[in-house]
Amino acid sequence: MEPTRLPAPSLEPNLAEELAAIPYEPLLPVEKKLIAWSLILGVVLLVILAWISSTFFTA
Amino acid sequence: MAIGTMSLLPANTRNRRSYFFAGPYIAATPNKLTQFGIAWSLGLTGEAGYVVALLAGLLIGNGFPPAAAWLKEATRPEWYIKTAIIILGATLGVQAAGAAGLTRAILFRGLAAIIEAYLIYWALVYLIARKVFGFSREWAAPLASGISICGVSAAITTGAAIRARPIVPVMVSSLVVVFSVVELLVLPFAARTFLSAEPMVAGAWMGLAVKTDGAAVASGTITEALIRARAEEQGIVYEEKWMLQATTTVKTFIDIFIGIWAFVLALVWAYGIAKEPGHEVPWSDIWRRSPKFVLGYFLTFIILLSVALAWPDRQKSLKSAVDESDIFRRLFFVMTFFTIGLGSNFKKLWAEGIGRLTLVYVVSLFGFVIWIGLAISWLFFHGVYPPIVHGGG
Repeated sequence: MEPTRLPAPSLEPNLAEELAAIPYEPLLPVEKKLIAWSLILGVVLLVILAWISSTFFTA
Repeated sequence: MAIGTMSLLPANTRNRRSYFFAGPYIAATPNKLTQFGIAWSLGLTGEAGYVVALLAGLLIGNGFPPAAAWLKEATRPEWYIKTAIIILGATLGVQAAGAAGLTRAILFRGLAAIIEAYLIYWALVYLIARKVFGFSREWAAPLASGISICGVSAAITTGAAIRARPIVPVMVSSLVVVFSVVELLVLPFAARTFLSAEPMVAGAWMGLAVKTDGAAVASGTITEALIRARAEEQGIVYEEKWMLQATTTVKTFIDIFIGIWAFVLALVWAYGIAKEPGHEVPWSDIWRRSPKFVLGYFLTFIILLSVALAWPDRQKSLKSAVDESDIFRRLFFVMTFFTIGLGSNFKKLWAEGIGRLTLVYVVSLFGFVIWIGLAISWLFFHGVYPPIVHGGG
């Protein structure tokens, strides 16, 4: 969805420099945790929600 | 004006008019092919007008940029799609009263589908952007939200939550808009080809796979028209708008969760990554970052549903009332398609340095976001069918 007015497009010409200047940032432990927990929660909830759907919300 | 008028006309008249404007090859349903002396058509029925509006917008946006720039302030798709979705809420509310069990199933399954999509999509896109493409956190988080969740607003909201510079969500948003048009032009036809037997899966898939509200609901509309036309070939007439309800439900739940996900990211960044002393993330951020128009959709939906259930004898007159309001919904849909086309500047893809961004977008979107969206839609919506008006016995 697109509710917010985009910031000024005058910033766009710097894109090539911006992308070239992206520094190397190793994954921090907190990022790894965020990714891992998100995926684990996703898989666990997948099973639970699929069971609830088929048991209590049959169409 | 012609396009708008075409969508405003009653169904039987509209079909005749759409043949006139858009041609039998776009609009004719299978049972009309002989009448027009053609062997093949897209079978879009009256919804052909939407595609014509999109193409008109694309033509002006990419062929006459000064005209598009002049119209820019008045042609923001979010204005039109939000109004259309709120009107649609009333129509779906009355419709839902006739099939409360199916509506409950769509609401819960839609909620379940988007929880899954958030948790799996975002983590995967973020991981790929960081590890494979070497993007910094500032770029990877808005990219992950833009590609995986709900396009422009998710990218901007995430950018704000992690305090990224404005150029980051701006560039991500540019890609989101362009690729949502590509999805809008491709996925409904893929759904017709492969998912005609599972119409609600197709509807939910549009909500999960197509980014931006406008393009997603637009895709749901086209998908419904295509699949209903395909079903008619086999003598099955599905009741209208149920596939669109699946798309809209999924998309509005996604919008609700943007605020919650941005809050989670703000917490992770404030306390885990940036660790700025004294910077706190208030709970009110969830409300502040959530799109408010979804309240309008649910309000019109719940009010009309409640009234229809409380006074069953009034359902007929309620249906007449929402049918009248549906004319405006169609008008706003036409404007949505047109403005999506108008705002899609494909030249952005040739901007210096954008290749890397485009690559991560293409790899993520076409590599797994679309397919995981399909798998989730299948898991939660297969075996769920719209009410059949006749046929299929």
